[in-house]
Amino acid sequence: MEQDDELESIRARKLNALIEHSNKKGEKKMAGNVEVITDAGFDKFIKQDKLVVIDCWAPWCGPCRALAPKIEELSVEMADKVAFGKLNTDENENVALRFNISAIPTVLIFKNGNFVDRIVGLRPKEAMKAAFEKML
Amino acid sequence: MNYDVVIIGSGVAGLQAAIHAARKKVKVAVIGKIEASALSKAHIENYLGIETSDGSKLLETGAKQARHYGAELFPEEVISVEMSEGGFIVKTDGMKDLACKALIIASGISRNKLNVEGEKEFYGLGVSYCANCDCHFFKKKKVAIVGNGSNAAVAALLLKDYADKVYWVAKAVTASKELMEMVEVSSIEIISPAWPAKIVGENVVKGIVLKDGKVIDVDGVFIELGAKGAADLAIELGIIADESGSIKVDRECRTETEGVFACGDITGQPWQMAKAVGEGCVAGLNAASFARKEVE
Ligand SMILES: Cc1cc2nc3c(=O)[nH]c(=O)nc-3n(C[C@H](O)[C@H](O)[C@H](O)COP(=O)(O)OP(=O)(O)OC[C@H]3O[C@@H](n4cnc5c(N)ncnc54)[C@H](O)[C@@H]3O)c2cc1C
Repeated sequence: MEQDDELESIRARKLNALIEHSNKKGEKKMAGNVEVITDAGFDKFIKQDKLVVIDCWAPWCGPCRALAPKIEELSVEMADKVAFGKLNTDENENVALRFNISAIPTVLIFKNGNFVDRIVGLRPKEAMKAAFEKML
Repeated sequence: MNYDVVIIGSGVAGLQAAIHAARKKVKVAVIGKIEASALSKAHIENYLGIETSDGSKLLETGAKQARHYGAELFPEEVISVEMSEGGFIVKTDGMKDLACKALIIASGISRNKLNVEGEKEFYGLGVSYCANCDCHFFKKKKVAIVGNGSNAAVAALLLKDYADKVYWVAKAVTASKELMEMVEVSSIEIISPAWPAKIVGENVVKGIVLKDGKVIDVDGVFIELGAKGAADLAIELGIIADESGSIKVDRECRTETEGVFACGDITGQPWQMAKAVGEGCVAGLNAASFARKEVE
């Protein structure tokens, strides 16, 4: 138990430092059309006519932070064809369990409400774009 | 221990940075194992003024020069870095805490793939390269850590707080004695000498087949080869590496975080000694002046 608490406090500390640091650098606030998705809103969100892309991430995951701005850019560039969401896997364990997510970032892709593919790990923006376009 | 400049990596770039920083009369520490430099296996024929030389010889001479100018060399591995009041704290696998005003990342490129069957197929479905990122997916599960050194030990020690069972598969364990003391009193089970032949599963990872044919049933495989990679260290400093693992710097070898510099292979191609040395010089000089300005 004590160890859990300690882990949590280390995580919280790291997270705060990161947030503070990004604020200090005046990092842009989240731009683009990426909707925050939770376990509760997940099923509704994936049932859309557009292709649905969900970026599964956690705050302390470095590669996830590197991927986020690329996803934001793509959400603007592909707004008419693709709906983008992001889901914090630490706060939303059900989706993570349901799709066997075991490494982040994982991007889940859905078409007509059905799971069609996943992309694991950080990839160049153009590679992501090409992967989404292939699914359209 | 307090320093003006701490350099992570004792390859070509790190040693050149140490020489230039130490000659500016600031207190310099270099952390890294010289024999782990990419150059130690190389035979150099395209470096100005040297017709032909063994990489390891060049590194030995470089280390001697760095020491001569006052830099302290620690043949250890960095396991974490953090920002602190007025600088940074660097933690090593020898359990040393080094505080500094300026930090230079010169840790070279890391090759972290195991190259076995199943590794690619199950990436994200049980296979992971980042214990920090992915430990929380393995609560109450069985995992195997693959790797020989301190980086693997740190991952095993982290995972044991999440997973029900942690195996550590190593050809030969080379982690620091301080970390091994912690591993030995833990529930981590070391399987060594051993190495994976393939990762098996059905939709998700179900186990590892070792080269001797033995099978270990696990839900997760954490691949932790070599020293902790620069991309993982950088994120603790708010620096985000690109998808190739490179860290962006400007012409002064400054990263996006004030007080953190980077040089050598880690900043991108060409992966050549001449470029590493050039950047090492720039990073060393600039880190030293950064640290000095902080004092004034
Ligand atoms: C087989 C081979 C042949 C080559 N031939 C040539 C050639 O002919 N000419 C040429 O110009 N270049 C050559 N190169 C490339 C050259 O070796 C590299 O460009 C050069 O070594 C880069 O220097 P570096 O300091 O950036 O990285 P490295 O020399 O690789 O040094 C990185 C250092 O960082 C340390 N480190 C990493 N992580 C950590 C950590 N967490 N904690 C502490 N320390 C850490 C490592 O131990 C290592 O000492 C060759 C490379 C190889 C592999």
